[in-house]
Amino acid sequence: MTKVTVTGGAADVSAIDAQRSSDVGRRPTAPAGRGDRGVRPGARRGHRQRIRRDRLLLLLMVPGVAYFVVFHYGALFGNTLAFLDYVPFLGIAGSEWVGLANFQQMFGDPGFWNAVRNTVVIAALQLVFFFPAPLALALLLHSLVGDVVRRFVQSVVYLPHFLSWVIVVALFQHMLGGAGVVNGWLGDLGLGSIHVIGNPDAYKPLVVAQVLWKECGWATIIFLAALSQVDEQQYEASALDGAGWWRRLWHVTLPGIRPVLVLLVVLRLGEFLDVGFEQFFLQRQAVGPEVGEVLDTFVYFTGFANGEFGYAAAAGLFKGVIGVALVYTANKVAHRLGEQGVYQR
Amino acid sequence: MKHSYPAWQGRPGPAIRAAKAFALAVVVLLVLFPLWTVVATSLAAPQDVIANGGWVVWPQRITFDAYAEILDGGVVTRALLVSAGVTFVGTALSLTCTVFLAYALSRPGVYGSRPVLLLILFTFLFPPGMIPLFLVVRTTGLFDQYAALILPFLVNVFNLVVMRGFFQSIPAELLEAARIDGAGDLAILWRVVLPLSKAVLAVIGLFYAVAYWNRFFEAIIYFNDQSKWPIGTVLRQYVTGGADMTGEAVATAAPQSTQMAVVVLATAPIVLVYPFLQRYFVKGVLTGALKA
Amino acid sequence: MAVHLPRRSLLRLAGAGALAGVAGPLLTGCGDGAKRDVGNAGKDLVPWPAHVPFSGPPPDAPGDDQGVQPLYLTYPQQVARSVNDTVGDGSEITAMVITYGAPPKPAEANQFWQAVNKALNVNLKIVVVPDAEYSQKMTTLMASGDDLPDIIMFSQLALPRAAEFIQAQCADISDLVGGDAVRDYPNLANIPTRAWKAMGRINGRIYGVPLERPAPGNSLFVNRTALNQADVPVQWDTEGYVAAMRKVTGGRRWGIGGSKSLFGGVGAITYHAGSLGAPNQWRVDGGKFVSTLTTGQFEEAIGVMRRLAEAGAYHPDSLTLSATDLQTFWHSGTVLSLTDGFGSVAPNTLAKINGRFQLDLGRPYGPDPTPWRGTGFFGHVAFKKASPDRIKLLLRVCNYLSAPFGTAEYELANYGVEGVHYTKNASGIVPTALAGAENNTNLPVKYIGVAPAVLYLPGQPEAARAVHEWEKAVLPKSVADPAVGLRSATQSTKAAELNRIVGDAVSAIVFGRKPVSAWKDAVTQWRQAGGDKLAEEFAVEYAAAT
Repeated sequence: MTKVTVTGGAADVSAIDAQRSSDVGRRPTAPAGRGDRGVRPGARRGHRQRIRRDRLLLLLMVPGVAYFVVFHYGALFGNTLAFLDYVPFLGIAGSEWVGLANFQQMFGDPGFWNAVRNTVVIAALQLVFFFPAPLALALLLHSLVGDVVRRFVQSVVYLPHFLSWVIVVALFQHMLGGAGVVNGWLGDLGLGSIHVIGNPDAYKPLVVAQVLWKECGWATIIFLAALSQVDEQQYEASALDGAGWWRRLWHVTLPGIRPVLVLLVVLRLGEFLDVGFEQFFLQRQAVGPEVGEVLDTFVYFTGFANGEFGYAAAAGLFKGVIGVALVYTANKVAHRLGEQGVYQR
Repeated sequence: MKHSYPAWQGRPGPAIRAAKAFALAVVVLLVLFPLWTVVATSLAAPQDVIANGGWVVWPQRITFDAYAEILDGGVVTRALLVSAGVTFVGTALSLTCTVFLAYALSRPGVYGSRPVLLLILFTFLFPPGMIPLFLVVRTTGLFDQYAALILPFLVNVFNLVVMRGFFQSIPAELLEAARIDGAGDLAILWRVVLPLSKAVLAVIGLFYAVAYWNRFFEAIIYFNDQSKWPIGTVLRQYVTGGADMTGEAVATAAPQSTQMAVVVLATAPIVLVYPFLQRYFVKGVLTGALKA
Repeated sequence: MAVHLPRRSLLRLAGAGALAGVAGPLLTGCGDGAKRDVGNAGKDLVPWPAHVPFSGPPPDAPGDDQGVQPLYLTYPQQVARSVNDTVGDGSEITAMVITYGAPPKPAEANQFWQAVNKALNVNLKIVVVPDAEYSQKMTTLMASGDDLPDIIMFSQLALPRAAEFIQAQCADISDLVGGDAVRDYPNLANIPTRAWKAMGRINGRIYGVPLERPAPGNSLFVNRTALNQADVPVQWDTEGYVAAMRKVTGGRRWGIGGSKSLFGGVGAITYHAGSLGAPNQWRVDGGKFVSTLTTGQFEEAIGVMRRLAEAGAYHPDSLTLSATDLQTFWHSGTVLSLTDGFGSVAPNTLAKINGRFQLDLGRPYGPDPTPWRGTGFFGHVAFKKASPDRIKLLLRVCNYLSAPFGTAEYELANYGVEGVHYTKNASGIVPTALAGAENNTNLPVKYIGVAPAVLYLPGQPEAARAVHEWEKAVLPKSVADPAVGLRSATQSTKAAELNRIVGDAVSAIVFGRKPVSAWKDAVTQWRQAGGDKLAEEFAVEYAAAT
């Protein structure tokens, strides 16, 4: 890391290096001074002056902020449903206040905790596999010189994203099912059969593999964009230092896209318990709730499907609180590592 | 098309290149084979599909009947226009609002930016439920309006945060240099930030476009007038089966070939956008800027 | 919260009514303190509408009170008129209905829609709700206050608090259709009483018009050709049935197929439970409701299914197949039998089978069978509160669209305009190409009003006759679900959960993931999760209704 910035030379300050320095500058507490890159002049003045100074940027915020106020904060009252026995045609005002009854019902149900356990395991597996795989694919694509091949492969691998889970599950079934294509081949060759679909032990790897197949190519897109921002001159400098492919990867590429990686991980953690619904709803039957029930399917059966919106809202709040804790922690860790995370200290 | 390696990279050995080619071939095959099955099934005669157990790899007879059936009557054509309009307008609006917001939030020390960012992140963790959002849509008079497919989804927090992250990675020297040249905040956005952010603009634009294109559920909830349905909602109706189908649905279900034709028709237009965006994924955009 | 909800046919499969009418503990009061009582216990009950059957063209074989449908091998030569007066006043009527079809072409380009509007003399606006999103759309509709369509169709899915909603917001039509008053609407008077009963009263009053369906419920569809080739007789006993399924399995063909949705509730087991004499959801025992799940016959049925699975007679992917894929395997002859709703006895099914084999329905195998009847209705329509004249107009619309088989009105509502949407030849109705896009599936007027179903499969008389024979053999022994049409004071908040408990346990035991002994635990779990409570509530309602 240090080596790179040194060899990079003063004239071409690397993107990463520049960003580091701007990090410092971005903090409002940083001392204002000589061309200090981040802090806007007059950061310490009064509110009114600061508003006047930033009026253009504040104006730019207006449409987006208005959107969040109307469609998110306007609908945020919906979370009070968690404390109601909500009846749609009676409205929120007309529905009965039940306090924590929805939460008590939820937390008191062993099925809920079983679902949480499964969700955490699957989410962790997704996290472990789901970041390296598209990154590796992106690096592979990025390393290609032939434009035609690269574009072709890029355009192909992102296609499965557009298929619905119903079709993806049906296709996996068709290939790997007990009466599927693969078992047909194995049977013809007299090699016995594999038991993947409907095998509780294989379930978690299977659902992760499905996510990988469906979303890996799609997820490479953002990495490719990040890779395009990496300063080419650093590669040159690094190569001049005799660094091989691995060292360039380690010292140039990964640090270059690290801020984006951190963002993606933190954001994913915010939705940690959202492992998806339809994929699991379609397949849980075959392995039973012990293995196949995730939080969303559980809440579907106990809440949504019966119009128990209060209960469903309680589950939503639970997920949100977990998300807050994870994002807060992850952001802290990111700061420790010298990254900005999704928000500054 | 020039196939030259940058000076610093050198040509990798044959073993490496073979490994790469192999890896890519495997990935492409893993993806293409099932997708090909979908397309082939849509081109097969319904009876051949049934005889084959639901999926066809090589159709014995190629027929476009399934497509003709869907496109007959003008409903799908109209819905395609609706979707194209919603996607185009929505993406333009979303991208604009996201860029503005991300830019303002990416500049250090802007008044109120930290609380605004935190309040926005909060909405990411506590998304609105179906009924509250529906009530907001009704109250704001968007019911049965095309805008109901756009405004409730105007800014996506994920996209906003990612775009802000990219904006922040632009070296502060460049912004400062522009400022010294007398550029205001808007000019900096226009002349420095956006030209250096083509890749992320392309990506986020794609994310928005795909989201708008694929959205089907909201049209059912927010519209009573089905002539305003977008393509996703309309075509979904051909896939009656979905996952569960009994009695009433079986009696009217479209053949599998029609269902696969629906998949192809619903995705083909939006899938074709990406290859046009790829030219923005150029390497080393920042390098040139820094040199200048 | 951002969960996207899939379709809810798993409830439909449960033979609704029973499991779908379950109640939960939390909901004794409704908000504003005013307890909304939708039950019928202790109320003055409006008499059911009189049943005045239409005497139409004579069938080739008659129907009967057991639910056997009149059989028509060919289309009647002469059709009658059932509506002579003007229906509408040219006003606009909005109707919200479920749909299983593609969106309709707009009225100005849709000759079928135009013809319906002309015949009814109204400007019919139809809001179609895809079945997969039906419950969400209805929920938001209920949250919309007074802004309702004139006609609202309710499927028999237990929509949470639907009865309370209807009572609060929809028109009480008791005085217009109760008892002999229904004679003003002869086609509504032709709807059999069992359909009205299945819809049920709310607080003793009538709030809607039912959409009738034939009596048979989930039934076993069999590939008769394959069974004949294996010398399997039409009548079989338990051992004979198991042996037959074993015999026909082999060489990438399976005796029986299941799907995720069938195993998501009691769908997959209905045929077996009915064969072995388990009650249809409930048995009324000295005024008490006893769940079929607690009976020895039901457990025996699980045992038979387990034996079939152990013998490999089930398609190996029976728990994960989508219903769509299962249908394909069935039509192609890969699986030789499956359980499905009686609604699958339809021209579309025969078209997909395309003569590959002879379609038949399986006879129950047990010594003392109790084949489960369906609920006898698909759902019902209710009307937004309005002046009596307006309600009468809406009833006349329903009356027109409920015109029985063998009338000119039926032809329009079901086949469209002669020469445009269909032609007639010796074998009967032949749809034109245009009928592929303009029909009552895409423009689902059949969910505003529908004729009692007869057995007529255009161009497939032998299939129709086979189904008729089966109905005659099976329906006399069949039993109805005593809970259909009953309201419980606290309705519908546990249906999906209870259904899931049953489906999960049946799946696990049948496919050997759990021992048969696990069934006892599942039943206990089911009772505690709301099953017992449900039994109590039904018992109270039942006593009041009889």
